[in-house]
Amino acid sequence: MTNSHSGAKEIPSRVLISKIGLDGHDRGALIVSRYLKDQGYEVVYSGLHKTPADVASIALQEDVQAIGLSILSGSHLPLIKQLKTELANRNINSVIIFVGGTIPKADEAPLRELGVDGIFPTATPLSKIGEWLKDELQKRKSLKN
Amino acid sequence: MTNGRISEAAASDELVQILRSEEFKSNSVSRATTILMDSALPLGNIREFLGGRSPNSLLICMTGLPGAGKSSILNCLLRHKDLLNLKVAVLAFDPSSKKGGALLGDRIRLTSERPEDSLFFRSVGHRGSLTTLPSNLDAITAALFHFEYDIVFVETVGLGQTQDNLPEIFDLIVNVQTLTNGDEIQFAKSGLIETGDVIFFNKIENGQNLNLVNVFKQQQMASIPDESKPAKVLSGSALQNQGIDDLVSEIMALRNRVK
Repeated sequence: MTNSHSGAKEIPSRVLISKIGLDGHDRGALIVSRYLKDQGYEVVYSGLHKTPADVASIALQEDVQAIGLSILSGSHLPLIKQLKTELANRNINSVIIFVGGTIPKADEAPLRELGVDGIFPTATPLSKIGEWLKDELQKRKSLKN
Repeated sequence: MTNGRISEAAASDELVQILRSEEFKSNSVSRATTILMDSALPLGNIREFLGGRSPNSLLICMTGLPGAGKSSILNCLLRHKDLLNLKVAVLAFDPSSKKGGALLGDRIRLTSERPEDSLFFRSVGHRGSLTTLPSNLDAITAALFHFEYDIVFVETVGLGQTQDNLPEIFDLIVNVQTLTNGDEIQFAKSGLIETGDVIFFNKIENGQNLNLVNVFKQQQMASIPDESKPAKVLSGSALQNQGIDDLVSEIMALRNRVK
């Protein structure tokens, strides 16, 4: 995260935190954004009311390794399904996707089937998200090498 | 959490491959930008692979105080009808914390509905560099011009009173200021307030406080002119989309100048 002794700099991982769909509650998204910033990530916060196409486009332009979506509207299943299509249209296949918000237990399996890597319902401790994301990025990196 | 380091050789190889590729992939611009940001490769290493820059392309710096409205003014420009048919790239810098992280929030001001291929927007962490902008900014912007962007905007982090050390590579520097952080004496001082080809006083909703802008203009005119051209003073409101036409006129005049 900081300068190493060799003088070369560690490059922070980049994460997009987005609010997708018609849901204006961004307290959770901002808290997670701030937490991840403090963990050393470069966090791109998109703001409210993004469409699945917006999120995919932002992920492409910002070249992020992970997308975190905060959804409290109940529309997580159709929105994530559309997002996966939009990502595929842009050849983004390896980005980590995690979702937070009001996600009923019964929807967790269908979300995972859609390709969601991490699910964090409301009241999840921040450290749980942080540890999970760190592990997930590490896994992808070792797969690549 | 870090993404590791990028070796100069690996960065160079991947970048050359992207720049040489005949086929334009949707992520070429994005990937090239990341490689240059992460590796700090200098322009000299990639110059031979770059296509020529269009003669009326423009490199514009948006700078000014934190919270003065740089992103909001930029958003007004991106939405302006005269610029809509131009391909625009934006590099929007925000500060990094000492732990290396950053909250990059310049996108929240972005309400432009440009199609994806007419706007490339990259949020950038300052990453604790000693200079205001990266040492290889010339390489990063040259790569964007290689991808045929007509205008490249570079939005700096919010600057402080004495931070006026911008690189001399810009066609136009717009210094966004507000009138809420001092009286006329503040504006007679040195440093950042002397920076820029255009000084845009933002947050002048409905013309209020316009007298202070006029005082600034008078002070500027009264000071003994030297060789350098005094900055053009504009005012308006990003919130109310006022004064933006004047700024666009400056940009278009520069774009249409005979080279």
